[in-house]
Amino acid sequence: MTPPPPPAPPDEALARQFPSPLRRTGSSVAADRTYVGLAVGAAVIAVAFVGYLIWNTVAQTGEVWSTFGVWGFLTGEQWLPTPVSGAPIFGALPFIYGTLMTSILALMIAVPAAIGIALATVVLLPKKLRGPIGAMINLLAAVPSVIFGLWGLTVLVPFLKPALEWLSTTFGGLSIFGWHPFEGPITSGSYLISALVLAIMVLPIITAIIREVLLTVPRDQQEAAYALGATRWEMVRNSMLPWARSGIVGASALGLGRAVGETIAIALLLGNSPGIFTSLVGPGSTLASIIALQTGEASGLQLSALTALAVVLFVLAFGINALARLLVRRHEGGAARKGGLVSRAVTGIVGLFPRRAPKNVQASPPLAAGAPPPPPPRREPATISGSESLSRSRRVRSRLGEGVVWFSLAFGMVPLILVIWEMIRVGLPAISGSFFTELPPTDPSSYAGGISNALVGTLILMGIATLIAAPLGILTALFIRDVARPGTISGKIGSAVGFVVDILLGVPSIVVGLIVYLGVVIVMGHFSAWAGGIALAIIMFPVVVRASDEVLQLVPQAQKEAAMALGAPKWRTTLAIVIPAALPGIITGVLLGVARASGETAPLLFTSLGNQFFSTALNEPISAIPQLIYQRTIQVATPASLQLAWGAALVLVAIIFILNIGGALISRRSRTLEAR
Amino acid sequence: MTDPHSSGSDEAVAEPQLEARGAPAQSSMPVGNATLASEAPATSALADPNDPSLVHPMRTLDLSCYFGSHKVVEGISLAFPANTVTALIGPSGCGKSTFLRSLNRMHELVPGARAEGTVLLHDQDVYGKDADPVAVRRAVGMVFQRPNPFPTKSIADNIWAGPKFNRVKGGKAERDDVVERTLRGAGLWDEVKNRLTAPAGGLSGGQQQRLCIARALAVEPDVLLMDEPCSALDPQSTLRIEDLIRELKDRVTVIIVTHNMQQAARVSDYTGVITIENEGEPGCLIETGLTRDVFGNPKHSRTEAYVTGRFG
Amino acid sequence: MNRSLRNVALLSAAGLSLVGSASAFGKATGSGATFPAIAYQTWCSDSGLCSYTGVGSGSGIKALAAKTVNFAGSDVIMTDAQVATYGGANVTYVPTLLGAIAIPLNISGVTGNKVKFDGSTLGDIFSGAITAWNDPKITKINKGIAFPAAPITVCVRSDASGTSGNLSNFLSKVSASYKAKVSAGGQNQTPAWTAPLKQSASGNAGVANCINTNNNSIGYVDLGDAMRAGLTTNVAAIGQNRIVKGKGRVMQFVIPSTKSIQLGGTPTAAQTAKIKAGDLKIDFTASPNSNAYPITTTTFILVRAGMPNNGEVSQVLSYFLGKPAQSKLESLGFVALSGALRTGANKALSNLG
Ligand SMILES: Nc1ncnc2c1ncn2[C@@H]1O[C@H](COP(=O)(O)OP(=O)(O)OP(=O)(O)O)[C@@H](O)[C@H]1O
Ligand SMILES: [Mg+2]
Repeated sequence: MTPPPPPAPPDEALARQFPSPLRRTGSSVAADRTYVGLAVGAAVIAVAFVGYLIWNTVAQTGEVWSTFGVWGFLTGEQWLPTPVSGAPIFGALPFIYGTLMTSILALMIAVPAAIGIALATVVLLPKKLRGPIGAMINLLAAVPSVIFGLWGLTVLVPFLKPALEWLSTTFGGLSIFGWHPFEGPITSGSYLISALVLAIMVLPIITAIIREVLLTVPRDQQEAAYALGATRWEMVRNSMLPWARSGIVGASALGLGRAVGETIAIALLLGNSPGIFTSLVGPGSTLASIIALQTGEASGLQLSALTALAVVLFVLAFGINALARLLVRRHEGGAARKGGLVSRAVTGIVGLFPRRAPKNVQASPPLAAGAPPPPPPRREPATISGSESLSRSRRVRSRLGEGVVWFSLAFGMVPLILVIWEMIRVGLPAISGSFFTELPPTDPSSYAGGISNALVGTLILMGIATLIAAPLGILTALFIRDVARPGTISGKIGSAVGFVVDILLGVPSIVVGLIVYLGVVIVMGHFSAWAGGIALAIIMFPVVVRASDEVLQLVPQAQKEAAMALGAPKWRTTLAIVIPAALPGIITGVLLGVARASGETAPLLFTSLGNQFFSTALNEPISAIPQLIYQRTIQVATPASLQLAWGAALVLVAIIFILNIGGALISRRSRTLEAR
Repeated sequence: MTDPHSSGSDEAVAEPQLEARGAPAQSSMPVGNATLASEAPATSALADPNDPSLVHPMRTLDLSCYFGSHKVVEGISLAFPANTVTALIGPSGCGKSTFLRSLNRMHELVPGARAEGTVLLHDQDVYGKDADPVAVRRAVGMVFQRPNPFPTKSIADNIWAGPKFNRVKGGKAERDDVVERTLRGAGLWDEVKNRLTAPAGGLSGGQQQRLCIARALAVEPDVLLMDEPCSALDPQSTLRIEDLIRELKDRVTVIIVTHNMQQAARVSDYTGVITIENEGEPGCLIETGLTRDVFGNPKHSRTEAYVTGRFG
Repeated sequence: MNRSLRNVALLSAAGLSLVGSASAFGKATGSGATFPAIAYQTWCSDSGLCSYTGVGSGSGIKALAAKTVNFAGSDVIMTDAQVATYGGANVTYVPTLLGAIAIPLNISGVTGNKVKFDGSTLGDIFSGAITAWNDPKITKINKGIAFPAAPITVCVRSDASGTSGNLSNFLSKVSASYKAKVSAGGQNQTPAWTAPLKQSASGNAGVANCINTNNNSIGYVDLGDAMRAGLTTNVAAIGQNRIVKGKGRVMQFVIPSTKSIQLGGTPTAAQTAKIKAGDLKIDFTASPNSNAYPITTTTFILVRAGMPNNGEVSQVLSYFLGKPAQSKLESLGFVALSGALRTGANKALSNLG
């Protein structure tokens, strides 16, 4: 063992002068400034542009308020663009009523079903089945609105007509304070069927949140119940549901926020007849559906009134979403990170980047005030086997409870299977090589032709939207999470931007369509692929931001500190450490955004408009698959054209499923990498 | 520069070299509180780390650290002589890490955190107007409590990360040279030379920590801060790292935070003791001096209580 | 399809894919009324001269005002206010085809095209003055048909539509209750329907679907779409009080057919004079001809004077008005222009370019 070399003599140590002043090269500082500038710029541009569009929209409504007054418009019961005599009359009440009625009915169906499905996939199903069945329910969320509309119109309405008939003959006389909810005659468009389809559509998001909330029920809570001799059902009743109560309420509110914005399916299924307290087996109209149906042809005061309806819808959705966030955050016990579960659920990343359930939390539910303590179990004879071990009534009740769960599971699964079945039964025969290379036939009774223009149109629209939303979204997320410093001005701007992003997540897509129509189409003077792409970008943007933000939070602080401690400038730390670690998640977020946007019809109706021909010109109207399905469904409903629509639906769903599954795979791969 | 030591495991008993300018003070530093307490040879002028005749790459003047309005470190003035190891000890929560992190301006990365007072690096104010935190961190390296290599990067890339961050232009030859030099310096070369391209996440905890030290050395810092570098490691790895720290002295000035009294005694030349007077008050420096004085002949009753394990 | 036409189609298809990325360069673009869209689109792809998007008359007119299309299709004649938005631009109306609005029915136990309505009864149904199928006013005209004692579901368009405009125009001429309660007159594209049991649906297919799925319903659909939706097996015969030679004033009921539409679209003496004077904006509803279908309509292509692409547009129009194009109409549920109207259209065309 050699002794260490003698220490450096003093003059030598002195000679070892500090190499450089504590300054950096100009280029390194400039690079940091550039990075910060880019992130700030992206966030500011995105928010400013959306702000401009919203301001421009609200400005359009002035005529309505001055003509009818705010209260007068909100409580106006008539919508007469061209009355027999006198000036046009516009009132929002029937549409507000229709929106709330369909949505609340839908929730009455969806919430119990969602609780059941969530319970099934968290506790009741065999472990092996939980994942796949949960994934299938999530797939429901990926089926675009227009396809549910098509399915509802061609399959569900004829199928359920006898049931409605029975309802109206049996309960037609029923009167609730003068309102006859089941009074005949029945019509093809009806509240009940619309609500049913709406329920199927909001089911996945409600289920996702309830599931997540149930997963946070501490194990010891469950074990405590079992240890007291509870059956599985009693454990669920007494341990899980009280714990999850506020989360369930929040999830329902979120579902409501979703339901009020649903457009296309409702436009196809509700019959578009504004009315208040009309029969539930008869038609109605909603804010979203009237906007979708009348905006393209409206001008002047009518356009202004439609815009005012959009503002009402926006405020309604915003209010409901804010409430939902509040409730869910309260459930999360205040410890929730900014954005939290709601954003994650809306973004669709709930199942992808799961947060671990707390191992052992304080054994009291977060809403202790509202939740009654689990009652002590009743005394039972200590038989431990055979049918005698449980009292008959307990057994029956447990069976019944679980039966309800299985029933709601079926409620979630059956529509999905039926829609996919219809898509394959009717749509598959339409698909051949030429389906992708030919234009739709002009003759609606021809079985020839394909959807080449719509396919290419969808790709172009998605391309525009992605090119706008992905960079802006990622940079905005970087701004919120990496650049903005809490406690400083940038931190305040960061949370403001985050707030705007959360608002955007809840904006109904039809409102986005109208906003872009007013702010882009009318300004440009014509419909165009650009306008459609921008509308879709506005839908994608918050999804990308929230998903990226979520994974940016998961990048270990220690990694960032390691780089910083080596003297890495900020931008280098971000580029070399943060982005690579977050990249799979970011890609997943972008894919989810693309998937979400690619199924949208409502925002395209009066932006990209549709085009019968093959067009790749960005300044002209362009076709898109969801829009083609919509056109085929409403305009020429011949068997041949429906076949084309179902074929297009099959292609669209395939694209969306692939995007979703791709996103899930990428995020899973990154997780296994992290786990190593 | 190569390491004259082989990485034999029996090096645990290698004697620490207490050295300062001119005459290295040769003295054995037996392990164990009992021995420490009994053995207390007072040493020359070198007993004072602030001695102006020493070179001080780093020193603090009245440094206080805050989280928001909450002051956690108060008025610490401490000098770190060149080519020595200084240990900072004190009870948990007294602000050792905070103090350490404010030396290379990592502290301010925590939202709301700030430092007041002066930190001098070669007589330049680290918190001065034209001082850039990035440049400061480049000159003052840091090793963390938990090994934090970049897990997906290869071992070699981990080493080269620092130079790359600092835009050191170098060809493959230079890169290979730096990798080998620093890995040898960290006593890791023999263990990893055959898998330089493997991801660093695959190394053991002790190896990872030595990799982190090597990584920090690759940017050739003047001062190396270590925050409980061995607390996540097994005794074997701990001893190897202690050896390494002693060897590092002739290249950098080391400041190490540790809870392990024996470790402080084994590796450090000087020791500073930080404690909190009363609950909720900021941590203050109560004693500083040659390690063997602090351990063997504490001036402050709290120090004595702490080093003999009766407190903290 | 004859050979030469087929070649044209093939060539144009090839041309289409070649110029795909350059979009419709060199081709005239149009948008507007959905009612003739299938005819225009067929003609456009046959000739390769143009593209047409069915977006509704109102949107077409808006697009023409914004100069984003070269021509607009419209079922309705522009209002003065709309004309004003052109800044006084001179718009030429060229009729392209004749069509009709059928009144399909779906009544339990009643099939075949045997139900008859006079204008007043039909107006009463759409205005809500009549709400049940066994209303005496209906049974009086339709002796021998057993109508159910069921309420009438009225299927109407929810979107603004030229089809609604034309029906409304007709009903306001022939029904006092309609004129008083729903629309005072003219081509009102969004009549304020007052029937109590009303269902609105989007597009012609929406209405067709509404009729198909609702028992005891009535609606209005363009004949072509009614054909394609399989609704022409049960359409109402519409009657009017008309002077028939030798018989005096009689009520004659007519169902839509090529013949009856052709008669409906034959200009009266006064209309012929108007056409000769160069005004082609003829309203054919409620024709005095006893064998004419009373809800016969025409549709126009609108061209702005002095636009750079008008040369191409007039090429398009001359194809549209030519024999190969017009002879295709019947299979699509329309009727070719004839007589004075056709002459007038051709003349307007020659004045164009
Ligand atoms: N991010 C933070 N925000 C607010 N206070 C903090 C933060 N980090 C540490 N503190 C507080 O600052 C004080 C000093 O913490 P520090 O980590 O420096 O102590 P320490 O001496 O390193 O303790 P240990 O020996 O346990 O590592 C403690 O009271 C701690 O609670
Ligand atoms: Mg510490």
